[in-house]
Amino acid sequence: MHLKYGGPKGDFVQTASASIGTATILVAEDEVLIRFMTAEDLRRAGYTVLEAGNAADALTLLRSNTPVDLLLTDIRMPGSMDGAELASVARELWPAMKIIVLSAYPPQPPTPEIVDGFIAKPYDPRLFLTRIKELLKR
Amino acid sequence: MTPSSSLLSQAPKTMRDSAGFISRQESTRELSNPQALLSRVDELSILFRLTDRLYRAQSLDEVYEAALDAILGTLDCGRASVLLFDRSGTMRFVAWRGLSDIYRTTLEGHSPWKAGDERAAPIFVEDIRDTQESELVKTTIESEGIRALAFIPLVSKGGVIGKFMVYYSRPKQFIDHEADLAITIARQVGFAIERARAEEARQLAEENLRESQERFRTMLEHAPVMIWISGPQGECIHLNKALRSFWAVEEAAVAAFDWRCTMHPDDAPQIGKLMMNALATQTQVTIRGRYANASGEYRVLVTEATPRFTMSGEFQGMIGVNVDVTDRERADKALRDSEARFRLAVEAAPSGMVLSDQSGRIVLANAHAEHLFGYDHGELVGKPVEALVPKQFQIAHPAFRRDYKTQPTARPMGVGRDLTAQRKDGSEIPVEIGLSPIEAAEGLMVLTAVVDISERKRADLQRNLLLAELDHRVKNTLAVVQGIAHQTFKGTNASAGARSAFEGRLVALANAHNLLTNSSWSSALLSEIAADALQAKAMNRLRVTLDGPQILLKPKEALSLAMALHELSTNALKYGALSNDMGRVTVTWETTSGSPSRLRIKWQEQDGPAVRPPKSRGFGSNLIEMTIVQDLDGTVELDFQREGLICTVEVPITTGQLR
Repeated sequence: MHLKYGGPKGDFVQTASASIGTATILVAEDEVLIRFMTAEDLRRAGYTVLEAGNAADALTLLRSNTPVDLLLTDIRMPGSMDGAELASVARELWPAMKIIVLSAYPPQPPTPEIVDGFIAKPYDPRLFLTRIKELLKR
Repeated sequence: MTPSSSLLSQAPKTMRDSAGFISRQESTRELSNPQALLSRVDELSILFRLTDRLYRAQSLDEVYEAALDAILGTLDCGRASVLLFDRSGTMRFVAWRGLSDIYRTTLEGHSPWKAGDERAAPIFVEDIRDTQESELVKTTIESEGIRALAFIPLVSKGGVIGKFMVYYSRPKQFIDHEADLAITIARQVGFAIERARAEEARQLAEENLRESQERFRTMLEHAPVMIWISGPQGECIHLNKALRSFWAVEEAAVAAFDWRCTMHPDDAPQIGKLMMNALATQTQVTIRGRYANASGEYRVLVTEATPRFTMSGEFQGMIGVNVDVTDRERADKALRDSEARFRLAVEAAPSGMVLSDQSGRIVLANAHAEHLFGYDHGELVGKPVEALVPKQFQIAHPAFRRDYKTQPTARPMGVGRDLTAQRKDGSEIPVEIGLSPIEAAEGLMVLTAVVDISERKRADLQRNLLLAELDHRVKNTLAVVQGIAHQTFKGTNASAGARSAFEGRLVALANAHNLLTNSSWSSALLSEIAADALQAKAMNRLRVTLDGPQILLKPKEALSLAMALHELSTNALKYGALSNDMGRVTVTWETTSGSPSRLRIKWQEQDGPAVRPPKSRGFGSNLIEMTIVQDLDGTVELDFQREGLICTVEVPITTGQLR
């Protein structure tokens, strides 16, 4: 069973057995080179990738009814909202959406209420994709 | 009429008392028979000898013997005894003639009078059978062969002190003359006993006095303190052994010894003034002064002198005791100096210092502590140390103090815990506390050093923030580099493996950064570096064995070894023991002694594919050599054995092995 989210809190549709590679991932990362690399690694793995250069853009994308399965966000980003706040808002509005923090900050114990995982930058692409795949399977 | 002729002329006057005894009062009668006259002359002679013997008697026993001789010689009784009241008022035999032990034992204590009776009169018993005495008394007397007897009171100072008894084997009619003789003898004997007792008492008193004086002299002579006796003018009469030894004065030279010449010149005026005043006023005096001893060393003596008087109150001089307090005063001064130095050291200490006694009361606190805890000068003294303990720990703190007393060693308090102390206003400050036991006369005291680490805490926090920021930037930069490499590799013919190797190295570097960041970039554990290189790659952990002591690595050592171990593990995954399903990797390490000590790491692969030595050196091998040999001044040995690669790395390390 695979869940896709297309709107605000509780507004989601259930899709039948979407393959992992077809999931949609929103990458929120201000460093363009890192964002390109991450997006490309994910696209090569078959995912649909949306990109945002800051938290506000990411939130706009999420509110645009684009179905997103996984939010992959950096913590420190320019603008009035950082990645942590974005994750909190996203968790509040789309509670079933997966959220992974991708950050150069020292790894912190994940807070299950807010995020589903943490991946440190720089990352090992093989282990990175394995983590993404495992998370989307749950 | 002479007293004796008067006695001879006494006539009997008989009265019978309630017990059947006959008392005879004096009466007079004339003597006309010449034979009787001669007999009286003999009696007078005996009485004269009695008087003489009593006068010359040196003891009570001599008195008794003279009395018995006179009684037997004049009263024609054959048997007689002398009895006196003892201290308990019991009449007891003190001398006797012709009486058995049984008789004396049975009748001892039997008396018609009580001690001190003033109206006692002689009692004459003509026949014991006619009396109303008890059968026991009668039987005892008759068994002794006695039928008649007389009780003659011995009187001293108006009261009865005893009696003498005369015994007859047949019933007898006592005549007045015999009564007169008996009373005369009794008066003489009573007086003599009184005199002898007084003499014995005097001799005993003199003996006691002699013994007392002897004891006093012995004590005086051998007392462990210096004792002296002076005359009314202060002249030396006696010095005891200790004082003679102090001044090295022979006993015979004491009278000529002038102690004043031993006084310290600075003390002499005051000593002289005090002593002359005491002599003049005949009063007690205490004088402290320095006197030269036999070696010429000045010693401090404290003199307690008391005036001496005769019984009649005549002033005879002084008796004094000198106590050498030199050592005690030096010890006291040393102690005072030590305490003063201790207080100065405590006061000058750069941290708060609090000294508490056995009960936990603060007895000393330096200005730093007062300022630290917000108290005024002197305000902390007397308060319990719990006043400085945060409220939530105040109840439990006395138990901690008791525990400390069981193992009182100098040590930091609360190792591994964040300690806080409470200020007067109730606020708390982070502190480090050191405890030191101090053995004192008052018992175990505890010196507590308190350091306010608020600034250090703030600095630590600031440093950690900076380190975290730096770490973030470094790893973000590495991520950017990773992104650049990604874009760069994309436009070239580089293989996916090349990108993977590059990114793997970046990740290994970042992971080592993480470990160092966790310790604020002070050090990292080799075991964690190795585990990160091998186990964090999600390999089967059962195929990896890490074995070695806990070694702390400095940042440079940690980064270099992390890169080397990453290259080895990557190689093992691609080509070595971890590239199949059976191979194993064992990493062991140890340190060697020396300065600096060396760390030896052995990487050994087993059960992997058969190993063939590479034909050319790859970047991985070069990276290992560069980091180990050039960065760490170490050695690397790669042994491509068929069974598996063995890599031995040896580097000097500057930190060391954790115990």
